[in-house]
Amino acid sequence: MSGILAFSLTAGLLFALGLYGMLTRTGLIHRLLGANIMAAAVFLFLVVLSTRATEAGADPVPEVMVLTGIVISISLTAFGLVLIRYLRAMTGQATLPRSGREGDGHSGDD
Amino acid sequence: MSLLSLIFDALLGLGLLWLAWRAVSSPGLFASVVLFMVFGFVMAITWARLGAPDLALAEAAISAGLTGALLLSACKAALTDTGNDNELPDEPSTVRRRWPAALICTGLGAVLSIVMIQVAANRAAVPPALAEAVTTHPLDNPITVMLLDLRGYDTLLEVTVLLTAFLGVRILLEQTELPRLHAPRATTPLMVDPLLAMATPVLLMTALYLFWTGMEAPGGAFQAGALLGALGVMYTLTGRFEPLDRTPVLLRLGLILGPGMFAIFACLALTWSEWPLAYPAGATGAAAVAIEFTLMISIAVTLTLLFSATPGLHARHMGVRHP
Amino acid sequence: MSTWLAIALILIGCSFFLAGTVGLLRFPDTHSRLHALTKADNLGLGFICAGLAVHDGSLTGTIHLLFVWALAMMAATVSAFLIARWADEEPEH
Repeated sequence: MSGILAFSLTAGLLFALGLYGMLTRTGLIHRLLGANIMAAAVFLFLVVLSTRATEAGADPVPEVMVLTGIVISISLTAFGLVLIRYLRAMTGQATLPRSGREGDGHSGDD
Repeated sequence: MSLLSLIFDALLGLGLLWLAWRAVSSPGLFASVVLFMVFGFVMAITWARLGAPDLALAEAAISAGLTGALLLSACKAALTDTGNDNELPDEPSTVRRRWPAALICTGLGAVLSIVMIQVAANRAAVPPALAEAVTTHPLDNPITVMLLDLRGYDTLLEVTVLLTAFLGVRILLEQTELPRLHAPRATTPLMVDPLLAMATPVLLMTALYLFWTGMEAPGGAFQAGALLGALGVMYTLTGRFEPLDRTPVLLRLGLILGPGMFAIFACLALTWSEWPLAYPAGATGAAAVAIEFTLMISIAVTLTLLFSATPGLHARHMGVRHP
Repeated sequence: MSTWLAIALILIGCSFFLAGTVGLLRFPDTHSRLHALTKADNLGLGFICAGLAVHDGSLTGTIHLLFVWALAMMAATVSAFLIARWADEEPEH
């Protein structure tokens, strides 16, 4: 399996990219995209783990965990998007209000 | 041949990275959303490449398709909620703390990649007990076996999370009046009716096919439910389903059917076994089909309602056109 | 023999996709971009499906692939129409 090397590397870098998006963007929908990309990186790594065995066949456990994770991701995204609309209705903008200290402590949408 | 496949894998990986980078870095919301949808489809190809067709189906239908639809309607919400008609509002300050974040993420990415390559390079065999349980199981698709039987509790909790997400949305909707996103229009554009007329039977058939074939081949309740959910999304978008302020009884039943039946089955299992969620000997296939069907219905109903971002929907009578 | 036929068909399909993508990137306005996308890509998908059907060689596989092509064309037709109509309503695009 030549793909193992390429895809583990991809998974590590994807995770970092998603995190970068979550840290640097102020728009909450962009942050949600970042969180989704981080989730995709974790899924990719799990599936790489499940295929590495495999003369006999892939290990189904990580694959099923990923299938579960995909559904959890869409639940999170759907709820997060309505939460963002709610925030916009309350405060007039789709970014987190700045707290007293510089930066806002936690990003709160994951 | 192996060089070719290495090149293909490298291209896929680079494509994923480039799309993810553009999705998190491009200033416009709409561009980011579209790039993220493309990311999802490339991810689906990656799953197929890694020999996980179940995941490829789920990714294409759920992550790329339905999440994409959700995000696009979030773009629309950014317009309607601000009373703005054409331009998506810009983020107040698009980027902040760029260099420290870049430094941290580069370091993290490097360390993670090295660790992942090392972990993945260790070969690990499937535990023999697991392999035997999967091969001797009455159902043939190992993924379905895991989902419904060996790790059934995961699935039970997963559909509960989906239900909880809807309940959360519903609570938020009771707190505040959000503008309706998909209000029915006075006129339907030309060609939408024929599309629905053709897509409805095809999607229903494909969903049932995926559900049924999921017993022995890639497919299953989640993929089928997502397809039915996509049909619900089309009906919501074209005004066939009208938003309601309450959740009708039938929809409540649909929402609770899958997790409810699964939970009841888990308790009933204690009467014939000492473990919850154990299948009765000799009736595994029938019980699994029944549970999977209820799960499919609930997933479809929940996804449609999550997309519409309303407490409930009801079918609008389109009226017969009299000449 | 059939492998080579399949490869040839898929390559032809890919070249149509390439042409469609170049058109999408280079053409000036929405209507001509749609023109490039819908015409070239539907034909390209048709060639790729034909190539895969030749490679697969079974009747069920061929029917599946025909289905894929027909569904993609159906969706492309309607979405292209809706995008074009939107472009007419908003003249600056």
